[in-house]
Amino acid sequence: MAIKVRYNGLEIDGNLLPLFSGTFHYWRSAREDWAGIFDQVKALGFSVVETYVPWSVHEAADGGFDFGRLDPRKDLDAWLALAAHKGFKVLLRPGPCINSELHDFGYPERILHDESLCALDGEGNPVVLSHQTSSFRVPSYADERLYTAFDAFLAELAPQVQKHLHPHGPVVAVQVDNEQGYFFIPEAFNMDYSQASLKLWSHFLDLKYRTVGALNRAWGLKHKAFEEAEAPRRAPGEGATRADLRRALDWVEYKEYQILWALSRLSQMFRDRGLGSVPFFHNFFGPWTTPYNIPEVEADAGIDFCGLDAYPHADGALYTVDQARYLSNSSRLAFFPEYGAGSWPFGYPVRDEHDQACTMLAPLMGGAKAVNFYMVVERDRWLGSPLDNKGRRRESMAGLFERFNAFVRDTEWVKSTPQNQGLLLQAREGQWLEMAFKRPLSFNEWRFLAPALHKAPEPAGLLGDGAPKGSEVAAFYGASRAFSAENHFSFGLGDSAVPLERLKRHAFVIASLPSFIDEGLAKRLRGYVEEGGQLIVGPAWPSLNARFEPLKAWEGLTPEAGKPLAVGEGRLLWQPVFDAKAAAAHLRKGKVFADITLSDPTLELALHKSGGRNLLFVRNPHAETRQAKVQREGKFVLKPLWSTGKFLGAVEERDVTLAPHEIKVWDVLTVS
Amino acid sequence: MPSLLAKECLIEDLDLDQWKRLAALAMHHWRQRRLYVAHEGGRVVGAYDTEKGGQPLPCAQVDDAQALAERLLAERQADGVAAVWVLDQEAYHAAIGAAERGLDASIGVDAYLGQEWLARFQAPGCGYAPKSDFLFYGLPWERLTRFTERMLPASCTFVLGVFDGDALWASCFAQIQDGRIVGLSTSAGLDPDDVKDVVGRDQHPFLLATVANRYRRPAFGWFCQREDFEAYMRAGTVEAKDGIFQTALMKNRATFDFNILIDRGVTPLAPLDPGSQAVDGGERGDNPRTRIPDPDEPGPTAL
Repeated sequence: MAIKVRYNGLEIDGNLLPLFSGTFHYWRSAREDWAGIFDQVKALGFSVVETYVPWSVHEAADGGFDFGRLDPRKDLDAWLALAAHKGFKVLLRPGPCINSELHDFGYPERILHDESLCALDGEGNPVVLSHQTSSFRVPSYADERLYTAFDAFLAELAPQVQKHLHPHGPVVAVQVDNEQGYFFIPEAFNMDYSQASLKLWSHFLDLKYRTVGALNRAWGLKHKAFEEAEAPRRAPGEGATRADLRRALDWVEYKEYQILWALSRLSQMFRDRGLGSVPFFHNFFGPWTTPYNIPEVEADAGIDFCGLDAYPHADGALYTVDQARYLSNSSRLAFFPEYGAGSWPFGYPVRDEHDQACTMLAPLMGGAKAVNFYMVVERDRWLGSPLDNKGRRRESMAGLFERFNAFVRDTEWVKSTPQNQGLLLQAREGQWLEMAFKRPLSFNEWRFLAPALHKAPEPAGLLGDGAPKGSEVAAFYGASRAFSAENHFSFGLGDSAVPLERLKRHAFVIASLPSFIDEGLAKRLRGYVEEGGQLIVGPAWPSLNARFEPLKAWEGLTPEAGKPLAVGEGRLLWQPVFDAKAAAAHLRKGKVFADITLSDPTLELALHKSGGRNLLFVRNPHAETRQAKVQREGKFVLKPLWSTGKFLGAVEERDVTLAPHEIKVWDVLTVS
Repeated sequence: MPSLLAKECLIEDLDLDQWKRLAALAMHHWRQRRLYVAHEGGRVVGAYDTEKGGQPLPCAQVDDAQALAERLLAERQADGVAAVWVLDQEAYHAAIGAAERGLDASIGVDAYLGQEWLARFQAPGCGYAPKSDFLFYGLPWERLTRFTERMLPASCTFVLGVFDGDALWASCFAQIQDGRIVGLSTSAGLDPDDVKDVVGRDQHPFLLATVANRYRRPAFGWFCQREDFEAYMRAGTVEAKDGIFQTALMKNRATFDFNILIDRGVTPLAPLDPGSQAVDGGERGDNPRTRIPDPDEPGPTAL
């Protein structure tokens, strides 16, 4: 492959292509406007554009396909040729799912109307998605017939795309499917209990346990074949045993596997159709916890890089910062394949210019190296883009995007590295445990019922006396995050997949663990602390591995709760409940101090180094203006580089003021 | 209930500020404070306030879920609770499942959600206060569907104009074809020079005429003041909305009007199917019946 995925973009024939791009849907703009639109997108500072290729739009009523034959706006070949002529590189997203606010999500209606093809809930009802202007049965991604149907479209599409793949044309990466993963409902017991999915479940158990005997030992049953292993349809309730929990956890894990399997199946189809000469990527719709497993997708599904989508409001940008913090430790390329430029009309509240301005830098604050702004060219069912559907500028918005691209260029952002002292690690087993105690929910239940009602009661003692519940593991993580933010540590996020070499880049690691964890993770954490790291774990001191067998990697380690233990060159602290004071003392003794602090503990910061610059990002989470004093060892001045309002000149300050929900960036200059 | 909103509805030319105001009112109930009481076959197992979190159980047993919901709302409304759900989650989940099983793939989201709304209250042990007929984005949808079917011509544009003082605070144009909404837009779809002259509710005939010509079909409209519109959208029941609507009309704070004087492009001899392109997913500009007229080009009647 002439294109290599780097942590900061695509390396094409030895040159780095930063992926800061904008979306422009060819079939939604008049063909005579295309050239002018490309010019205006370029004027905003973009040299990469992205588009979906919707199956439902190209499948004609006569059963054939329309790529300009009937409607000139659907001439993908001409659009790609024009993109190349205008000097753009292209990210192409051919589905099969595209959402795109289309009433059919890009699937031909014949697919959605086929009752035999839909995903089923635990009671055998079809899973229905109500979205925008339609309600439809969602297809099962375990059903081979979906792939057969899609392949007919791919067969028609591939020859047109092949001639535009790098090095012959502008297409430098192709997305495989869109926001794969149960149509926004991560709850494990919601779906998919279709025949096809249950068959895949048996296959998963076969892969995991290898022998029926091993399965029987884990589940406490006497099956004769994997096909007899019933899928759990509810969280383990009162009277449940550890074996029942094991079975529920297997289903939770299977939900990750189904995504891997589906993406793997699709990426192989794309390769079989001759599209494999450029990297493949994927996007999850927002969350990075189970069933969404980015490291596994990149390792096993034929996907080169996988990102997260975000459409934050001004008051919710911190979630996006955390998405980026996770991506920068877990993906080959920390990328937002969809980052809001405007929004869909039915979001609440509708994103406005204040939201846009306050959230432009949230991905960068968390360490993202690539962002695709969706949509820079407005179209039906969208509003608030910097360009309208004819390419006319909306000055206030357009200026913001120009400034963003200038910031990326001027700070040499692609060369930046996060200066994270800490890493907060959420073990995947803890996520599975929490997920095993969620109720099955339809889309509208999920949307309208209070989150407290999403949870099922979690019987105590399933994993032994005093073993923490999934909700307690999640609470430990939440407390560790609050601690790190309030003490102004610059920190990253990760899960069980973070390799030892990456752990070692951090002065401290706080790991949120249930009482069972993967041997590999335990080994890496032990390696980290033995080589000098400051490790805090809790709420459990795990004694079991992921199969509920005795954990071997921590043999010989016997910490007492709340008492630091020297392990090799480093120190370990186990806290059954997160104790901020004790954690702070532990880090102080380990000589870990925040590089920069703020007089207001509610302001959150992040530090990055780029070229010779020390970039300080600070976000005001409040709806009112806040002031704070910046403190750091030695003499220094702050040179403002970005504010939500007007672009700042070379003003220097140490007492900083942040507008409501603002993210500001300074270059921290040391003075003698 | 048939679908009023076409699946393929074109939604474009949305003024960001206006749409934000409309959406905030249409979806305000998503974030209004609610109290949930969960029970299992009548045994109360939890109570949750969306602002205050877990609550003490209001009672041990649910005998009449609807009565309990109404009683709790009456008790807590003064404290800021806007709605109360009482539900047996298993029964509720089963009821939603039955609605999903009965989905007719040809209907739109409005009709489906209407069916699902009814199914919720057929679930044993489920109560909701304030009890209301189905509201779709805060609108009494069944009533609007009936109104469209019986009172409006098959092809027209329904205009909502909301004024804050003299300023056009929000607008929404629903283009209707064969009794279904095939397009939604705002004043951003009009020539800005035309819109700037709409200062005050008494200017509504001009807005109606502009819309009629822009979308090439008769225009019918409701024009009101912001305070009444906000109260109408925030009202939790169809009956309460009715009262606000009628009062505003009677006190001359709202106006109903129409304009069927479309320019020479549309005549009794012209095919009256301006929306078919939109229904087919095509661009309005491709359709000679819906294209913005060129003043130098004679219309069919002039030939």
